[in-house]
Amino acid sequence: MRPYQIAVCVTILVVLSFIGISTGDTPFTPRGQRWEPAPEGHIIGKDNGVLTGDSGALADHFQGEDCAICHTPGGKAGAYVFSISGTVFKDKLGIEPLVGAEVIIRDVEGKVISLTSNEAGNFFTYAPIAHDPAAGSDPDTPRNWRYKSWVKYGESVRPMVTLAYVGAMAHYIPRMSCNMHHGRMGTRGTVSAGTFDTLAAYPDQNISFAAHVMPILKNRCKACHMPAATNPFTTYGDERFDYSGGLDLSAYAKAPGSSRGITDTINLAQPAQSPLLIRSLPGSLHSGGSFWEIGDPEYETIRLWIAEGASDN
Amino acid sequence: MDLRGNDARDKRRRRQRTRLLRLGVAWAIVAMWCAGCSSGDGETPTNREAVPVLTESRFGTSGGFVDVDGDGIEDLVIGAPEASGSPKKGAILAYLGTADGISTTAAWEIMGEESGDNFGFSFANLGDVDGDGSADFAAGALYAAGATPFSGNVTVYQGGDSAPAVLGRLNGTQPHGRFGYAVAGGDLNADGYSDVIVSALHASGDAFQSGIVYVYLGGSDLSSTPSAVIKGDHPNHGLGFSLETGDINGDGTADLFVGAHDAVFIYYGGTDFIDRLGADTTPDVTIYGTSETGGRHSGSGFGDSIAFIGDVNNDGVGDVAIANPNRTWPDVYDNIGSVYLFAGSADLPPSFYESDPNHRLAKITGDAAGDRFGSALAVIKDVNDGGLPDLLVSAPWASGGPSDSMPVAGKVYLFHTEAVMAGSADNLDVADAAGVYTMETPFGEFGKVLGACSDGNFFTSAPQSNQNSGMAYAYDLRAGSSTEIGNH
Repeated sequence: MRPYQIAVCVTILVVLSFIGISTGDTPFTPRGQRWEPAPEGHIIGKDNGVLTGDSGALADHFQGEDCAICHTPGGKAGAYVFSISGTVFKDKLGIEPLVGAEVIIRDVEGKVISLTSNEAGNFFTYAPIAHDPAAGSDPDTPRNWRYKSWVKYGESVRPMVTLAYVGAMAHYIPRMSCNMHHGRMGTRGTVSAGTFDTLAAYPDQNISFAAHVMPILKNRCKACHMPAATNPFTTYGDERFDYSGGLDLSAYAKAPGSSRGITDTINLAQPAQSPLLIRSLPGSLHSGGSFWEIGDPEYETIRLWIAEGASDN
Repeated sequence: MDLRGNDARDKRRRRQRTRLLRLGVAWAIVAMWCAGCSSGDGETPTNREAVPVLTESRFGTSGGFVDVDGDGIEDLVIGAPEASGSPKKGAILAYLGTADGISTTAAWEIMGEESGDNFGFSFANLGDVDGDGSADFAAGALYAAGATPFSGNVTVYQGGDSAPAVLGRLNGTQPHGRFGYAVAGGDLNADGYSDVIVSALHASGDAFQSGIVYVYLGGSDLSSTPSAVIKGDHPNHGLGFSLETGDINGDGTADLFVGAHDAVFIYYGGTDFIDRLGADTTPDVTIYGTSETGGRHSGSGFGDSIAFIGDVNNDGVGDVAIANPNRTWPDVYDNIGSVYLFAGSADLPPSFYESDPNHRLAKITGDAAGDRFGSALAVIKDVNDGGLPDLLVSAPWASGGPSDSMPVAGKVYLFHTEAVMAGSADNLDVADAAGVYTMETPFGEFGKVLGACSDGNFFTSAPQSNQNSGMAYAYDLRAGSSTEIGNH
């Protein structure tokens, strides 16, 4: 572990202790679990679903599509009703699926469900998910099932920020698919993991916001840091929680209603101290997880852009 | 990228070998293939460029008919956005129409430029953009570099020549904006040149990811700067999910239809089209889907596909078919899908709902939950001599094969419009179809794309078949025959 990582971890523990949040026993609320690391008890792939017979060859179909259109009781694939399913990609556009990503789910009772993405990037399981009595008394109603999830690839761990329930329309049909919102054409961007470079190459000077920085921000940040009018409020919890933190990173100028924009996250005098960079280092207090390490191409590109004046060029 | 073991893949391919069924087409008329597109083996390919690898290419994600070589016979161009030279450059491939049918061997291929471009994600016959008398065409590269990385671009090609020249490159401006998601052509300003309309589905217009539609005026020189820009005004609106042109108000000039989630916006064409949009982009007519949010529900698919069908109610004004292949909001989340026919008029109100009996001519409902009936529409020449153009509707997630035993095989339905108009307007369903086409490959998405030829033939595709390699199928309805294309 590098010195800065140790320092960041120590800081995290101190801060968490100070504000009363422990990593092992948190209330199942959006605010309480913002910075929670992936849970212990994760065993790679232990809950991977299996398709039998002729269907076994189909585990790699429909990458990025909403699995639960068919995999729902009474649906076209009603014999294989998943409790959780989806696709992991290397990028937010869904250009290339990611094989071997770990999907870690912890339900409201603390049970850990461990999945891996298959050769098509797909993952699915039949493992039951505990229901939350606070959501409803019926344990068999998927709408009452609650979980939080993380996606891990290598040393990169990325939490999915929302405490989701199973089945947005569960009062009609029990269903759950991460690809409902995170498919290839999804407006939130795909479920993605790892630290694969956004661009094929990065210049070492004359960094352009439009050509170099914006694609990185779109790939890394836009799923949460969007304009105020579209803040991804949680759909569950004891409060409506704004995961964007009021920060709009969808354009150079912040949108009306957003409290902060990209220029509020940079330090022109000390580029490496810019929150835009250090908030996404491993171990930082960032709900969206880490996207780069010091010296990575994307880190360096943004640092150089700031050092060159952080203009809207 | 080969993610699977070859042995397993070959086994699956053998098991999934595609065979076509044609069901209940009693009207099939044996006829000679006249000037126009057909099915059947054709001539030797020419002008072949570097050959793309079509395995796992999703061949058939887009496509359409256009006379690419100027011989007076429409040819078939198919998009394969994940074709590889390097992964997912994408490609479009041209299969020439001949007097004997459509060739099953590509005459030429045009490859994407960079890995990941997804060139061929969209395709459109634009009509005559440059005024040379031949129809031109365009292909979109959804993730290619436009003005910025990942913003997307659209390349416009000159039809009517064995080696299609590039008329212009249109560029998206916003990373992840999905410029080129939909492309269409039509002479909106009545100057005799077809114009090019392109949508950027996730570009931020007046709101985050609202979608933007750009209009580029045709002419001897195609400008790469849009002459009109229509911006979505609320987040994730889906503006530009579909595009279509046709004269809905009977003034003799094509009008622009823009699909968004749960609404279709209509902009009247005319010599002042650009000036009017420059001053105010409020649509002349809005058709809303039935939702409590008045056309702003992102889950509704109303408007996801649009087809100008011509005058089917004999009032002298053209009419339009609009589909909602997704949920039947707010009742159930079923994805059965529906198709609606609306009457054109010179006196359409500024807005109305799809349920308005003053404007809705008919509603056709899909068969089963999850079928996504209406995912693609195409208007086909009057193949049964019933006096009206006919309508093709696809349900790419419908079960197919023997006794519908294969999930998500996909189906295409043919409706004789005169029968639709004579039927019970709101109680039509797939049982009213005159023909049903499907395939014996589960999860193939047969019917993903539909394209009609001017002489009454059509093509469709199954881009998910053969482990995402994809296939296309050309149908000669009068001869009662069909041909597989792209057996890679």
